Amino acid sequence: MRLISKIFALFLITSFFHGCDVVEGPYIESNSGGPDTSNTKVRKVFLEDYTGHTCKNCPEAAVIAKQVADLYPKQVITLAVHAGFFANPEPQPPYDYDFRTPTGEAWDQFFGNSNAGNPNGMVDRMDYSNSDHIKGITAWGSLVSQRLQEPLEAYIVIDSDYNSDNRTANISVDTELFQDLTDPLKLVVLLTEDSIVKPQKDVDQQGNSITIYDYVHMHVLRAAINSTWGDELSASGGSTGTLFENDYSFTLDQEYRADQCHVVAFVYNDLTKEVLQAEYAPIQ
Amino acid sequence: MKTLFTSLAILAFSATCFAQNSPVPSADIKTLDGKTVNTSSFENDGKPYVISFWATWCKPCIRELTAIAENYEDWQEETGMKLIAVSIDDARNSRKVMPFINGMGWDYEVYLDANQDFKRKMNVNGVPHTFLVDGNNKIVWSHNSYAAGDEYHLYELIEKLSNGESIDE
Amino acid sequence: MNNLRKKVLGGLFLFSSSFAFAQNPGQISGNFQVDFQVYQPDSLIGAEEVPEGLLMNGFANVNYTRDEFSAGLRYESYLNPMLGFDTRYKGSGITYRYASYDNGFIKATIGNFYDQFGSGLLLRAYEERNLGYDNAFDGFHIAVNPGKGVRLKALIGKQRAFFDYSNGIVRGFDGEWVLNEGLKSMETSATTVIVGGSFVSKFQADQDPFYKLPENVAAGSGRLNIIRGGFDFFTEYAYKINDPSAANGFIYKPGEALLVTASYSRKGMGIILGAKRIDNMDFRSDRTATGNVLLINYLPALTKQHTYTIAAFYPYATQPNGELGVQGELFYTFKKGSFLGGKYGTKLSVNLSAAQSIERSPIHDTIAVGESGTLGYESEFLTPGETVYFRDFNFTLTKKFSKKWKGSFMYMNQSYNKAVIEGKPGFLKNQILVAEAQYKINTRHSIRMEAQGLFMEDDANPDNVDFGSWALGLVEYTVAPHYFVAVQDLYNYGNPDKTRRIHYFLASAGYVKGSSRIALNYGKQRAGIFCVGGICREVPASSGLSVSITSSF
Repeated sequence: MRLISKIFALFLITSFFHGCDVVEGPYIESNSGGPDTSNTKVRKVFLEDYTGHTCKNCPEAAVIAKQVADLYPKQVITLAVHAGFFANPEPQPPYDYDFRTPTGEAWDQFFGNSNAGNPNGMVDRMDYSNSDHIKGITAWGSLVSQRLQEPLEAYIVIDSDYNSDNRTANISVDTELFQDLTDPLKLVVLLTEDSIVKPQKDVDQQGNSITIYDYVHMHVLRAAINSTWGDELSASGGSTGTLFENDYSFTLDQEYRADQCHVVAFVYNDLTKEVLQAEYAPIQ
Repeated sequence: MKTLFTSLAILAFSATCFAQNSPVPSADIKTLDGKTVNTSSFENDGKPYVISFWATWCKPCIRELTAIAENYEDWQEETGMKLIAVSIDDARNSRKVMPFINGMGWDYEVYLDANQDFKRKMNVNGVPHTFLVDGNNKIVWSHNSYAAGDEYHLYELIEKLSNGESIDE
Repeated sequence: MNNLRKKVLGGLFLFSSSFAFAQNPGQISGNFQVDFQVYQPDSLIGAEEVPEGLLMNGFANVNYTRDEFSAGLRYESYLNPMLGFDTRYKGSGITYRYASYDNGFIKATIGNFYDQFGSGLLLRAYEERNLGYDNAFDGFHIAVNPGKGVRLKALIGKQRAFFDYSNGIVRGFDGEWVLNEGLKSMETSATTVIVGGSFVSKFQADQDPFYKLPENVAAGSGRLNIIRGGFDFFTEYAYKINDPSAANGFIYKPGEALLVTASYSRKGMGIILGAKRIDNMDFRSDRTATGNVLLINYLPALTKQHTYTIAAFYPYATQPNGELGVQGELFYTFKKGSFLGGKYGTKLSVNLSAAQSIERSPIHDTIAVGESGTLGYESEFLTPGETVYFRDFNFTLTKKFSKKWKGSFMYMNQSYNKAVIEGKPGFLKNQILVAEAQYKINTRHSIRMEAQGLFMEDDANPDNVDFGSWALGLVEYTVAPHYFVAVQDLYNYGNPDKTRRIHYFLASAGYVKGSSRIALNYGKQRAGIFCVGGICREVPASSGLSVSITSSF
């Protein structure tokens, strides 16, 4: 009996010493970002931000997405998916505009993002198989930095040839494997638009809800160039060096501004829904 | 999937062979003055007793315990029974249990199962859930939910037990 | 995965049947619940089409006990999760399994377990199946009773979130001592004194590129309970070191919580007063988690938990980032034969509760209150902030008029800061009246009726009116001990949008046999917040037929 008490006391004392990490300021990391990777084939992470124009906490998510993308230039492919309750247009201005897309709604239904409460997102759609795929916005930074350390599995090259007369782009997406893979692979190609100025709910210092009338929306998902779940590249993976070439022709809607549009492409494992690689390029 | 449900069904069936007349399971719960007791020590001098799971926020529970309270003296006199009221109130309400019980004027033996260990051991889905225990500390009957008049049915069963008859339902 | 499940269950079945022939076969027991709803789209109430048409939640527990040994598992299935439940529950699996040995002196559990230290300010793992909440640990738990009124507990584990476990690891220790059982001088004392203390620490790796984060976050608490006669005094204080998280906006301020309650009661009357102060006490095993996920501690709301339908429309939820709360409640019985007691006695309860923000001032001229990556703010311990979160004054009278008639009446006056509690703009002021009557036809048949009204104070700002006023009528007919039927009309007569002044009809029926219960509901259900215990979930409007089956064995 005494012995047990002693063991407990010992446990208590040791846990006190090991259980405390009091951080002294400054609390912000001073970092200069990753190395310049513009000329090497490296992993690029697909960061999805599930958002809505009447979600007052969502602008904060966009800020974090930008911080993460700035930290790892050209290695983070951001997509703003407007879907679910907070993306529903209201009958009256200012929130009468509609950024929803059938693709975004279908993903939101499938992955359950808006149901879990906006804002949130996914990083390469990791952990879908164990229900842990919806990632809080404050987790994005560490998840992206960890993910970038994993070896390259595939690399995507997008080439877009845009004809402004008929507003049509001929897009080729080449996917090269850098690992021997066995699971089915799919490719999704999307259209995004930047710098759309439309009202957005936000919060002030006191936490009250306010409307930012000239809010600049970035990386807005506009359409699926192929389809919501994409085209199958291979039903059984492929060996290192395998190259998949996919060509698409896509006509821009009148309201989309070609100089602000990007093609986003990502390859994913159809069994786990995990994204292996992503890429983006201007449509022009 | 089918195999799963078959196994569950078989398990449930084989379990019913055992569950009848099982003893009160062991779990630690607290008295109103903060002391810990084990439920396997529940007893009533060889007379039947009732274990009722309830909460201060549960209206049907309060209706049931109020209805029993109106007859409690008579029932105790006639059969020597008693009622053990196990509150599943959590930290939000558990401190209210003592003033509540006193305010209602109930004379039950009351325990707090704030961590719901006893509730889990007794496989209670929701409150109210009432168990009847015979003089040998075996659970012989249980009933989930409360409708006005349920207390008379309960008392019929208590009378049967105290007359040495068995309950076959 | 499926194969694994089959093997586990097959093994368990063999295991259990083999015991049937042994000398002491032990006991198998368990329970299950299946709920499903067939959804109909209804544009009027805003019930959207459900592509699956039918959604189902179900679970079954199976426990085995033999002498000092027990083991069990729970299988859960959500195909697909019903509306209002987190869709991350989609799927099926064994979510809870444990084995435990208990010889009275020592109890060891491996696998999943629930536990609570003190009042839960530091640690509470529990489940509310009907709300889809479960933060069970998976790990190792040990409890020791060395005697003399001392109880010690230690645990280590990861917490459950849906079908997965947290990244963070939680370690905890708790000790409690009933002085009367340990000290000779106290043995015969009429005063019971109980002291206790806990220590909890969580580990989560720091891979964040922006912040320098503490990987080990520790918290400690102490508690004291003094009981003498009808008096009961309880207090618990908890302190947590810097724990920047998504929930507190990544501030590095330490957190603290204080809870004090005092009650006095004697037969026929009870009174309780409580107060609490919470400052930056959101404590989770994953610093990036938001919503009702991976909470390590439990901060109880110091407000009355209402159960009449309309009185529960706007429930309060504790604000873990900061709150001052007070509550007082009286329970009183007017004796039989007294003026107010009448022939059978009259019961009265009165409750007053209030929750308010804490005072917050900047730590420096250049740093805004709550700015991330700083100490956040400074707060005077006892100075209340300016924002009203919640107010509730209510009383209930319950009276038996004759052998056949019983009645209750409740009045409630409520202020509800929707912006703080729900995160949607608005501040609501409601008056609520409830009248309930029960008529006993004979010993088996009875009728119960409820009339309820919620009268919302008018306001020029539409945010402050929400859905406006409501009325509810309910008639329930029960035949003990087996049947019940009920019809209910909930009428949103005061909705500011005149096209939405809708009747929500709902018919229910049920059959109860022993510990089994089948209930059916058909009709419309409003969108709203449903709460049990300390947590709530938002449920969208729905229309259709729902069935709930529960049983235990």
